[in-house]
Amino acid sequence: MSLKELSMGLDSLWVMVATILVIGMQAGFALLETGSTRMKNSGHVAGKQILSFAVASIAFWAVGFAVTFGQGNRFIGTEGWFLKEGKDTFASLDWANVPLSLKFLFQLAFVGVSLAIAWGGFAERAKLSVYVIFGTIFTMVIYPVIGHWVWGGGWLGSMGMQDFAGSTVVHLQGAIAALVATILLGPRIGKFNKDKTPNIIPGHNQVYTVIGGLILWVGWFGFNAGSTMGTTDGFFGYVALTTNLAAAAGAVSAILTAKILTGKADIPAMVNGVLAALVAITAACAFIEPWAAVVIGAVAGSFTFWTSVYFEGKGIDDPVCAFSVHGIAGVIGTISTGFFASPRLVEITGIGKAGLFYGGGFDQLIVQTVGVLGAAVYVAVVSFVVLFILKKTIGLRVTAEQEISGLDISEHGSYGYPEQLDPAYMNAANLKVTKASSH
Amino acid sequence: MDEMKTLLTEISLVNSLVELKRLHEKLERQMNEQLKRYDSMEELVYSLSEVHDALVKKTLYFAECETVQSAVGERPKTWCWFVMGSMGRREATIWADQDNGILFDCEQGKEQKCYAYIQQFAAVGTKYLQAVGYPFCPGNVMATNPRWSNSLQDWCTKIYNYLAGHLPNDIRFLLMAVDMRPIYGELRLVEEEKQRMTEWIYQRPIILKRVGEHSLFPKIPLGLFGHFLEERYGPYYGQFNLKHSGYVQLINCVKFLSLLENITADTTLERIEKLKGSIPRSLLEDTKQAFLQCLYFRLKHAAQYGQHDHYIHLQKLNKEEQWKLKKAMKTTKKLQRFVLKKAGGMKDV
Repeated sequence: MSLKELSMGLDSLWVMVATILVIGMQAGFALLETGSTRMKNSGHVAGKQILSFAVASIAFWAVGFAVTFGQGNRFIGTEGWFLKEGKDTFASLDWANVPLSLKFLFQLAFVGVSLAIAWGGFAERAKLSVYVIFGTIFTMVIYPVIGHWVWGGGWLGSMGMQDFAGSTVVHLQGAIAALVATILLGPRIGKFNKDKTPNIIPGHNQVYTVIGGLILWVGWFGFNAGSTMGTTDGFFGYVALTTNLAAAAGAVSAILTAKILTGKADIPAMVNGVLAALVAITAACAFIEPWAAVVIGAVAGSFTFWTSVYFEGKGIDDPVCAFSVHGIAGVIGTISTGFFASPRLVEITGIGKAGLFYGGGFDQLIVQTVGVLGAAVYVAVVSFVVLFILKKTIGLRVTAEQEISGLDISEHGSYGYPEQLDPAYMNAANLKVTKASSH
Repeated sequence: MDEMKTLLTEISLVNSLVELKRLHEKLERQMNEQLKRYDSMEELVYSLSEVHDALVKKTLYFAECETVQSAVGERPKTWCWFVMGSMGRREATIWADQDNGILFDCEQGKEQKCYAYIQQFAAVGTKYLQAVGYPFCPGNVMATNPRWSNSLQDWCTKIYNYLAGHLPNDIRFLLMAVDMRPIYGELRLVEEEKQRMTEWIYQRPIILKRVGEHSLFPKIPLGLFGHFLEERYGPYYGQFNLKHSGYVQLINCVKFLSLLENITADTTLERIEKLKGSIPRSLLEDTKQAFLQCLYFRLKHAAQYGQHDHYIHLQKLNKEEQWKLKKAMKTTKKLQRFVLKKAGGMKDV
């Protein structure tokens, strides 16, 4: 076996492991979102995660991957439908020394994450059919376009935009779609009073939320470190280090911010702080020094808690704070390399220039800002058009009666927690207790 | 304070609930005036308490007449209607909730009939008090609740159960009962029971320790940087809870320290006075000032907005008032630390 073949084997194995880690994040999102929402919607919220990934898998295989990475122009890829490979069809991914099948699976895992983020804005009131239709469109024409701009040989990549693992491509996109959805859907019944003051709708299981957060933290090693798609220089270890430092700083800063602003050391806020920090470090993880990872993670964890409180006060019901955690943090992370990108690491990655704090001037900061704005505008406009058409045709939202009954029973015909919610099973459960206690 | 004296005379002369309600409303108007030109908050609160007592006594007199006429059960040998909460401590604002109960002593074999009479009296009494402007207690701390209307024997059993402290609410109930003050009927009956209960608690360090720990909650809504923490959710979004901003914690701390010294008293100010020598002088003086400040804010809020809730938009307080409120809250925090030290140093079994 040649050195090159050995290297390919090792890289492939690493990318496979990373793929599994990132696909495993679906479990993290399922737990996080289910724990943060109500018991009556639990089966639906968790179950739609499988449906979503299944839809994305097929749509990305058929169309999305070709639009993202296929040969084409500066705006979209136009070759490689159904993963059909010709000469130079996927030249944009030639830098990775692994088979196309693995390249596809790894990138598919990212689309799945982006879509999972978007669903945060739909939670507890969207129709099941909307998940299928919007999921398909998102995977075919929304995500892939931005993916192409940055990673597929498009105009942002050519400008030298630094988005190592997708703060903008993956997270900001999902978050913008979530924001558009939550605005078009309107708040959940009972979230706001007549005088527009908000009510708390607590999630039904903080343990799920915490475990979900932890699964995502672990999965992020696949997300960021896996994005090196190579093993030979060991650089993936460095990326894992910055990722972990940022997450830790995010946890501490978020719980401190919650304590300072509200007097409560809020657990869900801490989990969201971890995620916001991870989102922010996603773009920057390969370009910044460890100290900067701590700063970026802390700023993201702290600031996004404040924004989640702010948006709620402005009448936006974002049930799992998707826009703050993934959108605001995505912006922070993407812009951050404009300040913190170190010349040493820019040289290693070969992307863009050093940041403002290292004497690189404003060049990289401008590129990063243009990238964020370009992506945000495109996703906002297309998501709005698609969701608006859906709203006017099939409707986005279930009926008030269905929403109050819960999506488990109204969309799926059975409860996630029958003993707690279904009168038939509640009685049966009580009967067992009575019988047991009479012995 | 002449207006208050006139009001007392008027109360003694009226003969209907409607007129009593009208005088209660007049009290609100007068309090608005008094707050603009009072000399001493202590005197103002005391005279307000006199008016409340007069209103309640007259209302209960009507209720007693009605109960006797209805001929339900048998009137006990001795009985006493008592008040608790802010009215028990003579600190009620204008539209205070009802917090009341009845104790009675009955001949053996007649308990059931006595209970029937007392229940009827409680039902009429609480209904009449509501008509006069004292809303039902949302927590059902009222004479109509069997927890708070008892024969002496049943009362002692209940207090003994609370003293065992096995249930989460036991300490809360004890702290409520410590505020009981006789208002109508055989006053001695309640005074003796209150004295006895204080003695019982004093003899139980484990319970005292829990009372001390209880007075540390809810947390004072001041952030790490000394900023006010407002409500984040619900109809009071963006507002500030005056009752929980130090007042409740302060009176509970003072109650704990009094129980620790086996002090029986009705009002918080009396308790503070009797604590001289038991807590550092500067803390004692600061506590008194903080308490009077809390009373000022409670009274002002009640007089201005006529609301039964305790929430306020902080913007409606001027800079000086905000500073004073914050100072009172900080003093309460200091007092809580002192209580924690005392409670923490007690024997833990």
